[in-house]
Amino acid sequence: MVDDTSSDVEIISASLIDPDCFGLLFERHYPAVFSYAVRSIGVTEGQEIASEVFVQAFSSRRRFDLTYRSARPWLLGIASNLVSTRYRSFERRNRAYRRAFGRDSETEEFETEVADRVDASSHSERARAALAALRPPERTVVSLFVFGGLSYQEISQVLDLREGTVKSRLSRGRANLRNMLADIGEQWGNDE
Amino acid sequence: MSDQSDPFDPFVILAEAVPEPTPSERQTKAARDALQEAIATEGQSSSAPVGARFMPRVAVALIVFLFGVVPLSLVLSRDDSATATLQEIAHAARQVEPADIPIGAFLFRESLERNLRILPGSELGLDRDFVAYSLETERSVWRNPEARFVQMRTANRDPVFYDDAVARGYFSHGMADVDALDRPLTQQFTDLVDPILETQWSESPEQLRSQIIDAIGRGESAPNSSFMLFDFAIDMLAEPIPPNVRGAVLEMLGTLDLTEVIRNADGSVRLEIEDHDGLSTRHIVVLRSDGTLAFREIVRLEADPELGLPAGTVTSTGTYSRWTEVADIEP
Repeated sequence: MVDDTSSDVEIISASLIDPDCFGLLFERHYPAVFSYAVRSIGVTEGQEIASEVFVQAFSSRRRFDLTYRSARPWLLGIASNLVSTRYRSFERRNRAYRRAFGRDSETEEFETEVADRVDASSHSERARAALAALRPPERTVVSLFVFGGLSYQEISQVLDLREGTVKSRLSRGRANLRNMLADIGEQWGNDE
Repeated sequence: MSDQSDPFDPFVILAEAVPEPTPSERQTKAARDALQEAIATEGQSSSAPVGARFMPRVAVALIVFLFGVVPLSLVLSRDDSATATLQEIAHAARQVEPADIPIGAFLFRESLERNLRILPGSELGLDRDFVAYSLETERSVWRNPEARFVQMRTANRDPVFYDDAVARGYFSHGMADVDALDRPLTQQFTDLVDPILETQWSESPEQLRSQIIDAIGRGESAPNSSFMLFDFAIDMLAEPIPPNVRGAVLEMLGTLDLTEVIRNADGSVRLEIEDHDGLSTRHIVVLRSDGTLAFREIVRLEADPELGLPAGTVTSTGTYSRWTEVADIEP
């Protein structure tokens, strides 16, 4: 019998026999998954993704690596795949518009929604736009590091990358963000 | 998270500028309900005793055997023909020599398209949520073999309106300038990331299907997954993908719920599929005998009163040349 004091591994193992047990994992990790998804892609898409993560995790729980101590990196890995897919899908749908016309009503609407989701401050909008402008591999790693709070090792596990690759992507992401956010950085320093 | 030597750490700015949200009760409940539905579905399929689960399948099999042999065989022969047609074209696609583009050369393609544009009515000064018109676009694309650099020249022309108010609003609100009507534009893009060209696609139709499902991000059970697979597969066929991958895409298409597969006299193949997720649409594609995309069209099967579109409106159509090697881009 598992309860809310049981480990993630115990809960997932028990859910193979009694699927209802998986609900305990939801109560434990939903806020973190929600936060990661919404910060990564915005409220509308993020809340859908946060929900989808648990449905996918439930259906694939037999593939969960029972040597992991926590299910959170696994869940955030699923979330990051869904976020990347949404970005890719969106990019694909709008490729022709973006290349041809230099304007992209759906992308603008999407990015505006993303930027507006937390508050309307210019810093927030700029930070979101800068993150969205990173190359996808860097964006995924930076999001997991900053919004998911995962370690290099955890990111390398969930994305199946070498730790050195994770570090180099974080390093490139940091450098690119620094360039894009240089003016905010100066104000930030002055504010503090 | 911060380097000591940093003048500022962009990760700190990112973390603080995009603060942590907390899910509302409504959001949490919706997600919990979705999970519980998934749990209940699995429970239903696994909780019945083995005999009880087995018997209905036996009964269904008997019914199909007794009453469905003749119609089933007709369906199979039709499917077999579609599959065979796509296998033939897949075989031809695999025989094409892989493109070996020298450094410095480019791939080039021309297309002539007409696409529906949808705008908020307010942009044309109209008290409507959305308005629609269509625009013809002649497009020339040059890309380097790595596909990271693209030059695109476009010429938009001949807008078609579905009512006079939209036509008046279009011209009086400067949309002709926004669309660069009759004014060819040349744009260059660098460091593009195109998932279709950058993904290592499998040459096995089954594995490719799984990869596409992953790329789409929807489960196989998504209500219109056959259509979504089709749409993505045609996007792939429109690009200069390797011959063996093209062959796999074509064979995978043969496994989908296509409503029509016709071999034309010139060796090209016409495919049709319908999408009933939302407003119903029919997608028509013509592939050349080597599996490259020649023509693509989307027809809205139902009227769309909000946009003033009658049933049968063609919302997107395009003819595409093959990708060919050229020594240089045109200015």
